[in-house]
Amino acid sequence: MESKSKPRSQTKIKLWIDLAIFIAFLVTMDPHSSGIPIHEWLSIAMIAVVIVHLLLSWDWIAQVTRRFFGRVGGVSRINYVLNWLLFIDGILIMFSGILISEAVMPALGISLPPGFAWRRLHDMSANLFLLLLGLHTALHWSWIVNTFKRYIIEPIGRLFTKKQKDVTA
Amino acid sequence: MKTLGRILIILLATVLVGAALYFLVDANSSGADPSFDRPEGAEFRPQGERPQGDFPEGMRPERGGGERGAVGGRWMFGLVKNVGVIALLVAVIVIPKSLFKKKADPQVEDTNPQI
Repeated sequence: MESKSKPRSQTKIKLWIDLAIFIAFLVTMDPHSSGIPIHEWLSIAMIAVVIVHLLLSWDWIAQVTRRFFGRVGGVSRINYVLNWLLFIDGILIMFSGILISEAVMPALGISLPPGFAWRRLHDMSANLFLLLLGLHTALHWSWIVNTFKRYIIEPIGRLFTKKQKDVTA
Repeated sequence: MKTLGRILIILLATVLVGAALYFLVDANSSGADPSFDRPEGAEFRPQGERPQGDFPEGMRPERGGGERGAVGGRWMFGLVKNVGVIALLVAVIVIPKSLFKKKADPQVEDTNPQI
């Protein structure tokens, strides 16, 4: 859970980071359309963004880790387990992706033997990730809606009302 | 300094989980399931992709509009499918949850759970 003392700017940053991750995920989920180089380089870039996402949620992670077997709400516990599954599956996608890389590794001068088990695992873990991401999104839906309203819909609405006032003045 | 420590913890967890997965998969895939290995003589290509010039007679895609349209359509399909799966999961969880909440206490406003 997000503490109430968390500065507004941090929530705003988190919203943009999460939006970026979501859009990048959608692009990387369809390598046939984006092309293998974009798929691979964008996935590598996503590692840094996901680290920022984890750092911004660090207080919650530390809090629930400490109290997991103690007094933690049911939703938080489900959320925590789901987040670990996402983390493990994300690593599996990255790891298998690196092992079957056709663009990034050759560009770095590293050649790896073809691993068809890894390729199938890469596909399966990506499909699982889609389901886990859906559950993750559902569990945070009210935060997404509220933050979207506060930082995107309301500022746009204010912009229009301000323009209207300027016209009528 | 605190942030650097946290980044190191994330990277350490990543390495540990990655190593565990590697050994787990390597131990399971070595000789267990032949269908998991490379098919003899077949070069891997992502689904729907063909090597250049390798089209059955009369099936070669048109240059220009036709090919671009097909790629655009496929891109849209993939995007809609993935967003659809996520939207479906959100609807399946969020709608019953909000209905249950309203039924339990119609006065209570939706809270703001967040990671």
